[in-house]
Amino acid sequence: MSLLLSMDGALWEIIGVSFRVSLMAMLIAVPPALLIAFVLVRCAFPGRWLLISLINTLMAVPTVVVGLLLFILLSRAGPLGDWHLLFTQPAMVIGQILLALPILVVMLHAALAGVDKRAWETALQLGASRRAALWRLVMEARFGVMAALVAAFGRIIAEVGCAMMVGGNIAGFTRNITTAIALETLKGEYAQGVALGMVLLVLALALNLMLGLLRGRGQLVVQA
Amino acid sequence: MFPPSSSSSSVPPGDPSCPVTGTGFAQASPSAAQVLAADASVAPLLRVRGLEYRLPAAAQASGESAEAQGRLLWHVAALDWAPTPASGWVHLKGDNGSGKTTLLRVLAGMQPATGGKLEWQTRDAHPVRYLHQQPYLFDTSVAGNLVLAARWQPDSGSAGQQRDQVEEMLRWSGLSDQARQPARSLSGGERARLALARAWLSRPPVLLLDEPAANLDQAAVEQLALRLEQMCQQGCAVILSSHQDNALSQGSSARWTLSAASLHTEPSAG
Repeated sequence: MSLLLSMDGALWEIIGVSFRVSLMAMLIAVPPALLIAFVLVRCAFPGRWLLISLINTLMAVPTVVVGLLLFILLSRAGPLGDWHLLFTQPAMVIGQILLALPILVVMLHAALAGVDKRAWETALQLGASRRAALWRLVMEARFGVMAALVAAFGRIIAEVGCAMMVGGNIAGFTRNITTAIALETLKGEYAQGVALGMVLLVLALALNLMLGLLRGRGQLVVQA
Repeated sequence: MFPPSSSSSSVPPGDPSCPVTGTGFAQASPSAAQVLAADASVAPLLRVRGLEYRLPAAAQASGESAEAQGRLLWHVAALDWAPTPASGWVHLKGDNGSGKTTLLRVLAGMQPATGGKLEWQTRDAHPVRYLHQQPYLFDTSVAGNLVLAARWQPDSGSAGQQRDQVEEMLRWSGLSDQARQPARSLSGGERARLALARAWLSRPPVLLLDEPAANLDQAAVEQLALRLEQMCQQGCAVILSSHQDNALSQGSSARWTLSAASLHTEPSAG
């Protein structure tokens, strides 16, 4: 704790990397996830249930496996080796996008599916464009959507396998909270590990409190 | 001539054995007929030819024969509807399950017919508003629901104009005092009023109401009739469905009845 309070520069650098990478991954992953979830809700096409099951399965894929696949793709000899992305922050962002997408799609799909079908029809009947109507659906499902965002962000900021494999845990560059904890623990420097772990715990608490507050206020409004 | 706004499909015209129904308003209302006679360029607002809707064939049936067609829900051989502001609304009658809702939804362009042609002859790209039997209110305040409608209407004006529209519709629906309340906390009658105001905010040329009286008490139905009268006078063409007679059937100028899978039109008795 005293480490955090003393504003150890390296420590904050590590925390910064975690947030930068995970927020960027969320920014990129949310729009396509929303579109896929919307298509799954609105459109009936052959293989729809197969696709949903597949995405559900992807949600359970261990992060190291995603890291391994990405490592093979991005390594010098791999198909995307020319991009020279291995052991960089963009590689970590790509890995976290892949990890966030399935959980986002599944939870956004559940949230949007819970909205009454008449909501979409009513919005279009009132002259809304498809984009405006989709935004309205998101607003109607806002608590479920928030839950999806929190769950996905929680997963990717706390994952260690993929960040370690494709990031490489390079100090000051791709070392984030989770890979730093793993390293410090191996070195026997438990204090720094515990301090970083507390950052993650506080973050999880803050996100869940925020969600709970939003939800609680929503319920109060409905009861009023 | 105005270009037809709705799509049409190339399906063989109606089965000649089906009863050819009347030509709607042109026959029903002398004033409408005169208007038509006086100016040949006035086209009916709605022109329907051989429109039909078949229920999707059951899965088992399609296994037996690829050509298997679903049961015919209804068929409209020919219909020209040219409502005038003075003529009042059309009362669409039919038993439960006769396809009133499907007909209204097809007319509103919310689902395709399985055959025939349907044209709304109006300049408006999106002339028809459909109101669900139980209207969906967005999860926001009463005023918020109207604000959305004001924002989404085709020619939305400035923020100030939109605010004026919202305030006007709040007064019109008698919901000014509840403006900040969540829309879903309203009573059944208030919900119906809000949904009507939300649809009417942009002054659409055509309004289709699915069983508007189903969940209302006598007083609320009479209030609704007054508002509909006002809307018709301002040039809105209204079709409403109801499986029974009530205060709304008295103000109607024509009755369309769905029975034996076809639509019959007649001037209203009331």
